[in-house]
Amino acid sequence: MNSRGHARGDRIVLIIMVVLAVCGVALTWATAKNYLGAATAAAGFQTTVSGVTLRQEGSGYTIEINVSFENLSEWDLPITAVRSIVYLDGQYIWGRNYEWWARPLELPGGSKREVVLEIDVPDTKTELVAGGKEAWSIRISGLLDMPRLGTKVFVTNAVVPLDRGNEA
Amino acid sequence: MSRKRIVAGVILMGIFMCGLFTCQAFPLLSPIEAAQDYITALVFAGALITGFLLGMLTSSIAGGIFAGFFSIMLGLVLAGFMMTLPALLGVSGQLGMLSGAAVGRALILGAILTPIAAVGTFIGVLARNRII
Repeated sequence: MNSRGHARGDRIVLIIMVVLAVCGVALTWATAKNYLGAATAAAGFQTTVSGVTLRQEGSGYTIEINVSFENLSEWDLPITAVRSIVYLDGQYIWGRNYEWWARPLELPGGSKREVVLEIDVPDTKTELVAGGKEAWSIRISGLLDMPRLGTKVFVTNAVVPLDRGNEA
Repeated sequence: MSRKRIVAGVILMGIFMCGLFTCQAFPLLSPIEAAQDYITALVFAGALITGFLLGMLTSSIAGGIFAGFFSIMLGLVLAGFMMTLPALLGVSGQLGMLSGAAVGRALILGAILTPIAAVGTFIGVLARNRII
Protein backbone atom coordinates (compact mmCIF):
# COMPACT_ATOMS: atom_id res chain seq x y z
CA MET A 1 0.00 0.00 0.00
CA ASN A 2 1.37 3.49 -0.80
CA SER A 3 1.79 6.26 1.81
CA ARG A 4 -1.35 8.10 0.66
CA GLY A 5 -3.33 4.92 1.16
CA HIS A 6 -1.81 4.44 4.62
CA ALA A 7 -2.63 8.05 5.60
CA ARG A 8 -6.26 7.57 4.50
CA GLY A 9 -6.43 4.27 6.40
CA ASP A 10 -4.97 5.93 9.52
CA ARG A 11 -7.62 8.65 9.35
CA ILE A 12 -10.40 6.07 9.17
CA VAL A 13 -8.88 4.15 12.10
CA LEU A 14 -8.64 7.37 14.15
CA ILE A 15 -12.28 8.22 13.36
CA ILE A 16 -13.34 4.73 14.56
CA MET A 17 -11.23 5.28 17.69
CA VAL A 18 -12.91 8.63 18.37
CA VAL A 19 -16.35 7.01 18.03
CA LEU A 20 -15.34 4.20 20.43
CA ALA A 21 -13.86 6.74 22.89
CA VAL A 22 -17.13 8.72 22.84
CA CYS A 23 -19.02 5.45 23.56
CA GLY A 24 -16.53 4.77 26.39
CA VAL A 25 -17.12 8.23 27.88
CA ALA A 26 -20.92 7.78 27.69
CA LEU A 27 -20.67 4.35 29.34
CA THR A 28 -18.34 5.63 32.06
CA TRP A 29 -20.54 8.67 32.70
CA ALA A 30 -23.76 6.62 33.01
CA THR A 31 -22.14 3.99 35.27
CA ALA A 32 -20.33 6.59 37.40
CA LYS A 33 -23.60 8.52 37.88
CA ASN A 34 -25.31 5.36 39.21
CA TYR A 35 -22.21 4.62 41.30
CA LEU A 36 -22.23 8.08 42.88
CA GLY A 37 -25.95 7.63 43.67
CA ALA A 38 -25.17 4.33 45.37
CA ALA A 39 -22.22 5.87 47.23
CA THR A 40 -24.42 8.73 48.46
CA ALA A 41 -26.97 6.17 49.72
CA ALA A 42 -24.16 4.22 51.39
CA ALA A 43 -22.89 7.41 53.07
CA GLY A 44 -26.37 7.76 54.65
CA PHE A 45 -25.83 4.56 56.60
CA GLN A 46 -24.44 5.05 60.09
CA THR A 47 -23.71 2.72 62.97
CA THR A 48 -23.29 4.17 66.44
CA VAL A 49 -22.42 2.49 69.73
CA SER A 50 -24.63 4.26 72.27
CA GLY A 51 -23.56 2.36 75.37
CA VAL A 52 -21.92 -0.66 76.92
CA THR A 53 -23.29 -2.41 80.00
CA LEU A 54 -21.58 -5.10 82.03
CA ARG A 55 -24.01 -7.49 83.70
CA GLN A 56 -22.95 -10.01 86.32
CA GLU A 57 -24.68 -13.41 86.18
CA GLY A 58 -23.50 -15.69 88.98
CA SER A 59 -19.75 -15.95 88.64
CA GLY A 60 -19.75 -14.87 84.98
CA TYR A 61 -20.24 -11.61 83.09
CA THR A 62 -22.27 -10.60 80.07
CA ILE A 63 -21.44 -7.51 78.03
CA GLU A 64 -24.37 -5.72 76.41
CA ILE A 65 -23.55 -3.36 73.57
CA ASN A 66 -26.26 -0.92 72.51
CA VAL A 67 -25.88 -0.30 68.80
CA SER A 68 -28.02 1.95 66.66
CA PHE A 69 -28.22 1.52 62.89
CA GLU A 70 -29.42 4.59 61.02
CA ASN A 71 -30.33 4.72 57.35
CA LEU A 72 -30.60 8.32 56.13
CA SER A 73 -30.83 7.29 52.47
CA GLU A 74 -33.96 6.49 50.44
CA TRP A 75 -32.84 2.92 49.81
CA ASP A 76 -33.76 -0.10 51.93
CA LEU A 77 -30.58 -1.52 53.43
CA PRO A 78 -30.99 -4.94 55.08
CA ILE A 79 -28.18 -6.00 57.43
CA THR A 80 -27.30 -9.68 57.04
CA ALA A 81 -24.47 -10.12 59.54
CA VAL A 82 -22.75 -8.25 62.37
CA ARG A 83 -19.55 -8.95 64.26
CA SER A 84 -18.70 -7.25 67.52
CA ILE A 85 -15.29 -7.28 69.17
CA VAL A 86 -14.73 -5.92 72.66
CA TYR A 87 -11.49 -4.60 74.18
CA LEU A 88 -11.09 -3.33 77.73
CA ASP A 89 -8.22 -0.94 78.50
CA GLY A 90 -6.64 -1.95 75.20
CA GLN A 91 -6.80 -5.70 75.91
CA TYR A 92 -8.87 -8.05 73.81
CA ILE A 93 -11.81 -9.52 75.70
CA TRP A 94 -14.01 -11.38 73.26
CA GLY A 95 -15.90 -11.23 69.96
CA ARG A 96 -19.10 -12.68 68.58
CA ASN A 97 -20.76 -13.10 65.21
CA TYR A 98 -24.46 -12.50 64.67
CA GLU A 99 -25.69 -13.96 61.42
CA TRP A 100 -29.06 -12.93 60.07
CA TRP A 101 -28.82 -14.39 56.56
CA ALA A 102 -32.21 -16.10 56.86
CA ARG A 103 -33.92 -13.08 58.40
CA PRO A 104 -31.91 -9.90 57.71
CA LEU A 105 -32.34 -6.93 60.01
CA GLU A 106 -34.49 -4.72 57.78
CA LEU A 107 -33.51 -1.07 57.70
CA PRO A 108 -35.93 0.83 55.42
CA GLY A 109 -34.96 4.24 54.01
CA GLY A 110 -35.02 7.02 56.63
CA SER A 111 -35.32 4.60 59.57
CA LYS A 112 -33.31 3.93 62.73
CA ARG A 113 -33.07 0.71 64.73
CA GLU A 114 -31.58 -0.01 68.10
CA VAL A 115 -30.11 -3.44 68.76
CA VAL A 116 -28.54 -4.93 71.88
CA LEU A 117 -25.65 -7.27 71.13
CA GLU A 118 -24.78 -9.64 73.95
CA ILE A 119 -21.40 -11.21 74.53
CA ASP A 120 -20.79 -13.77 77.26
CA VAL A 121 -17.37 -13.19 78.79
CA PRO A 122 -15.38 -16.44 78.97
CA ASP A 123 -14.08 -17.61 82.34
CA THR A 124 -10.48 -16.86 81.35
CA LYS A 125 -11.33 -13.15 80.95
CA THR A 126 -13.47 -12.68 84.09
CA GLU A 127 -10.67 -11.18 86.18
CA LEU A 128 -9.68 -8.85 83.39
CA VAL A 129 -13.25 -7.56 83.04
CA ALA A 130 -13.70 -7.18 86.82
CA GLY A 131 -10.52 -5.16 87.08
CA GLY A 132 -11.27 -2.78 84.22
CA LYS A 133 -10.08 0.80 84.80
CA GLU A 134 -10.49 3.12 81.82
CA ALA A 135 -12.60 2.39 78.77
CA TRP A 136 -14.22 -0.15 76.51
CA SER A 137 -13.14 -0.19 72.88
CA ILE A 138 -15.80 -1.64 70.63
CA ARG A 139 -15.41 -2.59 67.00
CA ILE A 140 -18.62 -3.27 65.10
CA SER A 141 -18.40 -4.59 61.57
CA GLY A 142 -20.96 -6.24 59.36
CA LEU A 143 -22.42 -7.01 56.01
CA LEU A 144 -25.13 -5.04 54.34
CA ASP A 145 -27.11 -6.01 51.25
CA MET A 146 -27.11 -2.99 48.94
CA PRO A 147 -29.55 -2.85 46.04
CA ARG A 148 -27.69 -3.27 42.68
CA LEU A 149 -24.33 -3.51 44.44
CA GLY A 150 -24.59 -6.70 46.43
CA THR A 151 -23.03 -7.33 49.82
CA LYS A 152 -20.92 -4.50 51.26
CA VAL A 153 -18.87 -4.29 54.42
CA PHE A 154 -19.28 -1.62 57.11
CA VAL A 155 -16.96 -0.95 60.03
CA THR A 156 -17.18 1.37 63.01
CA ASN A 157 -15.10 1.80 66.15
CA ALA A 158 -16.14 3.36 69.45
CA VAL A 159 -14.53 4.09 72.79
CA VAL A 160 -16.88 4.10 75.79
CA PRO A 161 -15.49 5.28 79.17
CA LEU A 162 -15.91 2.70 81.90
CA ASP A 163 -17.73 4.94 84.39
CA ARG A 164 -20.58 5.24 81.86
CA GLY A 165 -20.45 1.64 80.78
CA ASN A 166 -20.30 -0.27 84.05
CA GLU A 167 -23.41 1.17 85.58
CA ALA A 168 -25.63 -1.93 85.60
CA MET B 1 3.28 12.44 12.74
CA SER B 2 3.05 8.68 13.04
CA ARG B 3 4.05 8.87 16.72
CA LYS B 4 1.42 11.56 17.36
CA ARG B 5 -1.23 9.31 15.79
CA ILE B 6 -0.19 6.39 17.96
CA VAL B 7 -0.26 8.53 21.13
CA ALA B 8 -3.71 9.83 20.14
CA GLY B 9 -4.76 6.22 19.49
CA VAL B 10 -3.47 5.08 22.89
CA ILE B 11 -5.40 7.87 24.67
CA LEU B 12 -8.62 7.27 22.70
CA MET B 13 -8.55 3.51 23.21
CA GLY B 14 -7.63 4.03 26.89
CA ILE B 15 -10.81 6.10 27.29
CA PHE B 16 -12.78 3.36 25.48
CA MET B 17 -11.31 0.65 27.74
CA CYS B 18 -12.07 2.82 30.82
CA GLY B 19 -15.78 2.59 29.96
CA LEU B 20 -15.60 -1.19 29.74
CA PHE B 21 -13.53 -1.52 32.93
CA THR B 22 -15.92 0.72 34.88
CA CYS B 23 -18.87 -1.41 33.71
CA GLN B 24 -16.93 -4.54 34.58
CA ALA B 25 -16.28 -3.26 38.11
CA PHE B 26 -19.97 -2.40 38.67
CA PRO B 27 -21.98 -4.59 36.28
CA LEU B 28 -25.24 -4.02 38.16
CA LEU B 29 -24.84 -0.24 37.87
CA SER B 30 -24.22 -0.38 34.14
CA PRO B 31 -26.88 1.33 32.00
CA ILE B 32 -26.74 -1.45 29.41
CA GLU B 33 -28.71 -4.46 30.61
CA ALA B 34 -26.84 -6.90 28.34
CA ALA B 35 -23.55 -5.67 29.80
CA GLN B 36 -24.59 -7.12 33.15
CA ASP B 37 -24.36 -10.65 31.78
CA TYR B 38 -21.72 -10.34 29.08
CA ILE B 39 -19.40 -7.63 30.38
CA THR B 40 -16.36 -9.92 30.67
CA ALA B 41 -16.80 -11.02 27.04
CA LEU B 42 -17.19 -7.34 26.06
CA VAL B 43 -13.97 -6.41 27.88
CA PHE B 44 -12.09 -9.19 26.04
CA ALA B 45 -13.60 -8.09 22.71
CA GLY B 46 -12.66 -4.48 23.57
CA ALA B 47 -9.03 -5.49 24.16
CA LEU B 48 -8.96 -7.34 20.84
CA ILE B 49 -10.44 -4.32 19.01
CA THR B 50 -7.98 -2.00 20.80
CA GLY B 51 -5.03 -4.13 19.68
CA PHE B 52 -6.41 -4.42 16.16
CA LEU B 53 -6.96 -0.67 15.71
CA LEU B 54 -3.57 0.22 17.21
CA GLY B 55 -1.99 -2.41 14.94
CA MET B 56 -3.66 -0.67 12.00
CA LEU B 57 -1.90 2.56 13.04
CA THR B 58 1.60 1.14 13.28
CA SER B 59 3.74 -0.99 11.02
CA SER B 60 5.66 -2.66 13.87
CA ILE B 61 4.11 -5.45 15.90
CA ALA B 62 6.26 -4.62 18.95
CA GLY B 63 5.14 -0.97 18.82
CA GLY B 64 1.51 -2.05 18.52
CA ILE B 65 1.82 -4.41 21.49
CA PHE B 66 3.32 -1.61 23.63
CA ALA B 67 0.58 0.76 22.49
CA GLY B 68 -2.07 -1.85 23.39
CA PHE B 69 -0.49 -2.40 26.80
CA PHE B 70 -0.42 1.36 27.52
CA SER B 71 -4.05 1.69 26.39
CA ILE B 72 -5.14 -1.05 28.80
CA MET B 73 -3.09 0.50 31.61
CA LEU B 74 -4.56 3.94 30.88
CA GLY B 75 -8.04 2.40 30.91
CA LEU B 76 -7.35 0.75 34.27
CA VAL B 77 -5.96 3.96 35.78
CA LEU B 78 -8.96 5.98 34.58
CA ALA B 79 -11.39 3.30 35.84
CA GLY B 80 -9.53 3.29 39.18
CA PHE B 81 -10.02 7.05 39.33
CA MET B 82 -13.76 6.59 38.72
CA MET B 83 -13.91 4.01 41.53
CA THR B 84 -12.32 6.39 44.02
CA LEU B 85 -14.57 9.27 42.94
CA PRO B 86 -16.92 9.04 45.98
CA ALA B 87 -13.93 9.26 48.34
CA LEU B 88 -12.49 12.18 46.35
CA LEU B 89 -15.86 13.98 46.43
CA GLY B 90 -16.26 13.27 50.17
CA VAL B 91 -19.39 11.09 49.92
CA SER B 92 -17.90 7.96 51.44
CA GLY B 93 -19.23 6.79 54.81
CA GLN B 94 -18.76 3.75 57.03
CA LEU B 95 -19.72 1.43 54.20
CA GLY B 96 -16.87 0.17 52.02
CA MET B 97 -17.96 0.60 48.41
CA LEU B 98 -14.83 -0.81 46.84
CA SER B 99 -13.60 -4.25 47.74
CA GLY B 100 -10.00 -5.42 47.54
CA ALA B 101 -11.25 -8.23 45.34
CA ALA B 102 -12.44 -5.73 42.71
CA VAL B 103 -9.00 -4.08 42.60
CA GLY B 104 -7.25 -7.48 42.36
CA ARG B 105 -9.67 -8.59 39.63
CA ALA B 106 -8.90 -5.43 37.64
CA LEU B 107 -5.13 -6.01 37.90
CA ILE B 108 -5.46 -9.65 36.83
CA LEU B 109 -7.65 -8.53 33.93
CA GLY B 110 -4.97 -6.03 32.88
CA ALA B 111 -2.39 -8.82 32.82
CA ILE B 112 -4.67 -11.18 30.87
CA LEU B 113 -5.83 -8.56 28.38
CA THR B 114 -2.35 -7.55 27.16
CA PRO B 115 -1.73 -10.79 25.22
CA ILE B 116 -5.28 -10.60 23.84
CA ALA B 117 -4.60 -7.07 22.63
CA ALA B 118 -1.31 -8.40 21.18
CA VAL B 119 -3.30 -10.90 19.07
CA GLY B 120 -5.43 -8.00 17.83
CA THR B 121 -2.29 -6.00 17.06
CA PHE B 122 -0.85 -8.89 15.06
CA ILE B 123 -4.04 -9.10 12.97
CA GLY B 124 -4.10 -5.29 12.64
CA VAL B 125 -0.50 -5.08 11.40
CA LEU B 126 -1.14 -7.86 8.89
CA ALA B 127 -4.30 -6.10 7.73
CA ARG B 128 -2.44 -2.78 7.38
CA ASN B 129 0.21 -4.38 5.22
CA ARG B 130 -2.49 -6.16 3.19
CA ILE B 131 -1.08 -9.57 4.06
CA ILE B 132 -4.53 -10.83 5.02
